[in-house]
Amino acid sequence: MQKSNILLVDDYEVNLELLEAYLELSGIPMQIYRAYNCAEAYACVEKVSLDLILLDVMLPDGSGYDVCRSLKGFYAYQSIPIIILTALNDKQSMLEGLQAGADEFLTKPVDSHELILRVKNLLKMKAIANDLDQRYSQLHRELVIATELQKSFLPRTVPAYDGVHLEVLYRPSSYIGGDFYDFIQIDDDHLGILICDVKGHGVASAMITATIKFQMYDLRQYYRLPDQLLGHLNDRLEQFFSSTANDYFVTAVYGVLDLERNRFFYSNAGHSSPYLCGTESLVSLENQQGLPLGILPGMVYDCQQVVLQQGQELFLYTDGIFEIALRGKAAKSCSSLMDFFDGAELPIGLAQVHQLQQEIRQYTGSHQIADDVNYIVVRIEEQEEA
Amino acid sequence: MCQVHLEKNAHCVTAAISGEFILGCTSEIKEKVKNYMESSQQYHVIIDLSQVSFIDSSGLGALIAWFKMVNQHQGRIVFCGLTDHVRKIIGYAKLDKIFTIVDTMEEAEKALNA
Repeated sequence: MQKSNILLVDDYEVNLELLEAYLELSGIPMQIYRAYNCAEAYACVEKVSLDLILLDVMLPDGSGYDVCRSLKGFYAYQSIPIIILTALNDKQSMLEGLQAGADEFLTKPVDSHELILRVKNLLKMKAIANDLDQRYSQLHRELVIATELQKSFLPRTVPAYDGVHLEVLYRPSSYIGGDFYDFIQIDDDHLGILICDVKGHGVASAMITATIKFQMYDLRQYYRLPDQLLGHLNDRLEQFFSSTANDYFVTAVYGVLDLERNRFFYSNAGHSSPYLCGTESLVSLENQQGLPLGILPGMVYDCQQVVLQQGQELFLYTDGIFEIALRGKAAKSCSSLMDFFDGAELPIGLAQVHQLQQEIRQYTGSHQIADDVNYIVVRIEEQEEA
Repeated sequence: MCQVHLEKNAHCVTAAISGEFILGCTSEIKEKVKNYMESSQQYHVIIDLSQVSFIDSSGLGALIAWFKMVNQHQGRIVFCGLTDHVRKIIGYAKLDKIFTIVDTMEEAEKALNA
């Protein structure tokens, strides 16, 4: 059995000797540390991974209550059980100790049987806390690995072309996310673009993104046919969910960007509409059909086409952007960009959209976020006059 | 906070949901409604959403799970009393294409028996 690390804090040598003698009687395997004041107690807590503290109230450089309070306020130390030793056998000091977060009390002179029983109980509790801690760390390590794996499914680079500029922002909320995107170079002039959002959270969502990546590859014969691709993907996901998680669904936009003619040929499965942004225009690319993927088999998707002019931008995004855009604002939700700019007086265009994008970049760069955030911008560069 | 009130009569089960139907409460309510349908062996269901002030994708997931379950058992499901917000969210996800949506309980009962 592993030795328990126990710290005794008292300024009287005699008291320390006595406590140590009692504890040795208990037969618990232990390593005892001594501190004669608050400063030494703090130093020991920092140095040793403690399992229990026996703490006197009146110390030369402060009160045991203060030591207790400050240790219980630290995440790293709050699970160390503390027994407060007091000569004051009154309700007031007990309440003060409870307020400071102490786990147990003993009044001096200490009864050896009571001391040993309380120590044993608290050590048992600490062992359970240690075990939980260990399991949590294990889980944490596995999540970190899963995050890395998921990153490996995402495109390593953003494709670059003459005259067409692409930009991506991808920020998963905690560890792993349900947002996913992909670029597929179909041939020199055609780029497949997928953006999707697995509804549901955590590890399962992330595993579903892996399934999508795999299924997309398996459906590569449909890369040029967005409606067919989404139709097949829908059937496969529906089958997958029906045997696993039937409250999951996926919203997605898949489109083919014709780099020669600056055309975008796309289908939408229940995803927030992409937008075409010009200097003073903002047009929603609505679709008639398009249920999210994975709900009903046999869904038919329609396919539409938009031609991008020089200087225009195509903006694809997941709805996580709104949680950032709306923070601190009265409106609690919005589901489209148009909704978000609703009520603005100026003609909405690139300037406003860029401002929103910048805000999202800045915020996600320095804050924890509740939902994944992902957007893709395709800009047709303005050509210099010959 | 979100709650569900369950009732049944000879023809159907009614689940009245109230509050914010969002992540954190959806899986519990999803199970409650599912278990209620199973134990009463009744897959004609009215989901009353008139007291739902807010819904997120996890709430939509629960609606879809019930929809799928009812379909598997050749039952019917009708959603009624949608607030503007809920109607909008369901519309954005295009779920209004497959859900039967009505305004009042009377219409819901009629739709179930149609």
